[in-house]
Amino acid sequence: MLEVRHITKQYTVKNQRKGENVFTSVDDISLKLKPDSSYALIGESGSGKSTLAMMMAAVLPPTHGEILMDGKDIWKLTPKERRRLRGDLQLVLQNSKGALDPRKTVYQSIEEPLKNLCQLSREEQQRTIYEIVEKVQLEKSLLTRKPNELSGGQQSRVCIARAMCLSPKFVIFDESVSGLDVTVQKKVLDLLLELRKEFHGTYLFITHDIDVALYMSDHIFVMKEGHLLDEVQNALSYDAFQHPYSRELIASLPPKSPHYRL
Amino acid sequence: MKPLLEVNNLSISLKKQGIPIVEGVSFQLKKGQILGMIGESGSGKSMTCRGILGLLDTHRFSLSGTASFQGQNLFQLTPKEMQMLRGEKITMVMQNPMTAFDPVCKVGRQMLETLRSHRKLSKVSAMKSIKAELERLGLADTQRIMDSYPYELSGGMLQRIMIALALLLSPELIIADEATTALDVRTQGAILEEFSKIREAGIAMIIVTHNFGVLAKLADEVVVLKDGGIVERGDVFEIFDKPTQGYTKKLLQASNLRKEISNA
Repeated sequence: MLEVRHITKQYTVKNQRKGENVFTSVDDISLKLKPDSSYALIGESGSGKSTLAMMMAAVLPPTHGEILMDGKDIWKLTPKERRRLRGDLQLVLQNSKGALDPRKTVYQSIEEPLKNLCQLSREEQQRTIYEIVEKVQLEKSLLTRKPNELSGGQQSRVCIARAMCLSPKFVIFDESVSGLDVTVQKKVLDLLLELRKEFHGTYLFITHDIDVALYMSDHIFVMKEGHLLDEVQNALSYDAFQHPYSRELIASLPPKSPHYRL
Repeated sequence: MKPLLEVNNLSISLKKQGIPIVEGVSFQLKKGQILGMIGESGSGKSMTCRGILGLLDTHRFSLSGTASFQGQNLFQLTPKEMQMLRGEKITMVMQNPMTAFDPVCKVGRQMLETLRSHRKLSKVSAMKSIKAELERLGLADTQRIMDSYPYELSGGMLQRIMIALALLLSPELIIADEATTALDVRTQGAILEEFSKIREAGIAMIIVTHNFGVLAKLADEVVVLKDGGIVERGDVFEIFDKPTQGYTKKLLQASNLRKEISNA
């Protein structure tokens, strides 16, 4: 179980005109992610979604509060212990092009976590990589290519493969499909749903698209300006959202058909 | 009524490699009409728009076909005439507001430059009309915005500034190339509202997008592009209610995530 308790993140903003001020990006958020389930977090740009994701994925230390993974506070561990934890806790970023090393081939990129976090023989490593690559529906011929030779959809598959090759217990997807066009987005989302069925992990999807959130999960958190405003369980349609801000988000969605045009 | 913009058999290809990018695209646009262009990445939507506006490097790309705007053939204009037409009669709103502005130049100065290169206006009166336009688009703190560098403003704000710029010279046609793709749902909603106001003002628009919701909200006519060619065209209601081509159906299905939840 991944539990977030009263977590806060503050940044100091330096400004020539106004001097220093403190900006609170995430303000006293608590939430619980149970094993083998799927969650989604929605909010506007600047609502603190990504900051929360980075703290939960043990990348960015929180200012206050604690994040417990199976009862242990991940920010009280030594850096070495935290590194070992990475095998069970993975983050997939939005900008997949930026998340891949341009000098490394696809194979080398996917190999990296296996090399560093497991004691596997070379053959076992290779077998794991071939397996995961097949699961994310990438062609084997792409393994020797560099990221800039791949399309956006293929790049995001590589990032997913890299996160999945250790079969982690928790995966946080931070706007992982936002840059993709609708057909590719659908394919990647369907792939993720299948992977979850297979690996039985806990996934948190961070997105600004309510449709994506509803498609991926039925337990949805709503964030605004660093606060957790709404938590909806059994969310099956727009009707499940009660909070005025959630309603506002839904109202600003473009219509599904020209017949509903106002 | 004579069409405002008539594109006939437009083809664009890479000169050196001889690779076709856009092949035989034709469409018409009447005054005050909104044309939606939809397709996947790489289907040639943006290239078509750039070709029409004369924004393509002629050393790298070869263009054929015709594009006439108010009876003028756009491909026969000199670069200078084209430049005067752009911004004055036809304006463009780009996809990524963060990179469309000059990062080392304050927003106000960039807006002034655009306005004053087309109109003989004093700095003071140009400032006045810029401020009025920004206020109309719901940006209240105009002085602070004009004194800011692009990186100090949010994506939604910059996109509104770009729309304000596009509207300042009261053009006949606005081309919006994925203008809301980089924005979150709420900002997108606000920008789409602005676009429907533009429609009421009788300005024609070409909206390039891969989001069917944007078309459902705004478009009158829709063309569906695939691999550089038009696969289907028609009235927006026809495209949504009874698409004839498999590709259009596939796109519509992929964009409608919600439907499958209710089935599941």
